[in-house]
Amino acid sequence: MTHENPQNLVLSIYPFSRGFAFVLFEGPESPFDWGVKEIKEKHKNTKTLDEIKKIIDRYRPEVLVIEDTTGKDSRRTSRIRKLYRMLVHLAEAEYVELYRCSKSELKQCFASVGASTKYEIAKAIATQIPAFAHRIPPFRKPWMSEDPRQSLFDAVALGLTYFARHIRSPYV
Amino acid sequence: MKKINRKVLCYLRTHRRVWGLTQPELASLMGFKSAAHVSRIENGKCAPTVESALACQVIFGIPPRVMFPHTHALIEEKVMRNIYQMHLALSNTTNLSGLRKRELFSLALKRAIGGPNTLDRT
Repeated sequence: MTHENPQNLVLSIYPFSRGFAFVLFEGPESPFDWGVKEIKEKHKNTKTLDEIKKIIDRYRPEVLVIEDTTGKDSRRTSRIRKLYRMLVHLAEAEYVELYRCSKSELKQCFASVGASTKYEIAKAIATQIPAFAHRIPPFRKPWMSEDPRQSLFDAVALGLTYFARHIRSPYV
Repeated sequence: MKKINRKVLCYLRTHRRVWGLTQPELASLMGFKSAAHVSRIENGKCAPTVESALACQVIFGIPPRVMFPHTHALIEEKVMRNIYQMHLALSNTTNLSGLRKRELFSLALKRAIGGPNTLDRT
């Protein structure tokens, strides 16, 4: 992690059924802050948006990276799609550049390290960025629900895909 | 109008979380009774004391200048302003002591411009 010249921050967000995960990057290999916030209230989208706004106000990131759900191959729920639409408006209102990363872009980015499934991508990230190594979730069996920690790796993957497209990345 | 980008206050939270430490654990390592002190430093609500900055260096091996860039920048600006004023006050000096002080101030200025890697200690 190099902190000699703090760069502009990139915030990647990955919402999931029980809340959202966020990662703030200074560079492709230097995460600055990260976390998984569980939201158990009734109006999840409103509360999630409030929490994301708090993060944006606190760190003032230059770029907000979210998943592109406009494609036909996207399998996110209508609530999450609505939340993404709200995030687009939030980014506009807060003057944060928005980058929408499609699932195919993400897979293409991690294909070079032989990672195609979510778990393989998480393992590749944990190898590349030791800060996340101790947070890797156990392998998900078909009868298990997804571990909330997985969403953190999904957010990291979005951020790394952004860097792969814009700046140098360990995965290209 | 674009909003002003807020600078990173400190990297204590980042390094603590990289190593999987909790705030109470770090507080006990640093010799604090409660985790509130660590929280206050992490959120920039209070500046780190010399003791806590050095304790962080012992634990993480990161010098205070890198761990707390915001605090370092504030102190540097204040000190450089004082140096400049003293440098001006000594501009007409001819005695050896005064010249030696001016030399120190020039070096400090060079370090400030050249960044933290400039370590001239003549």
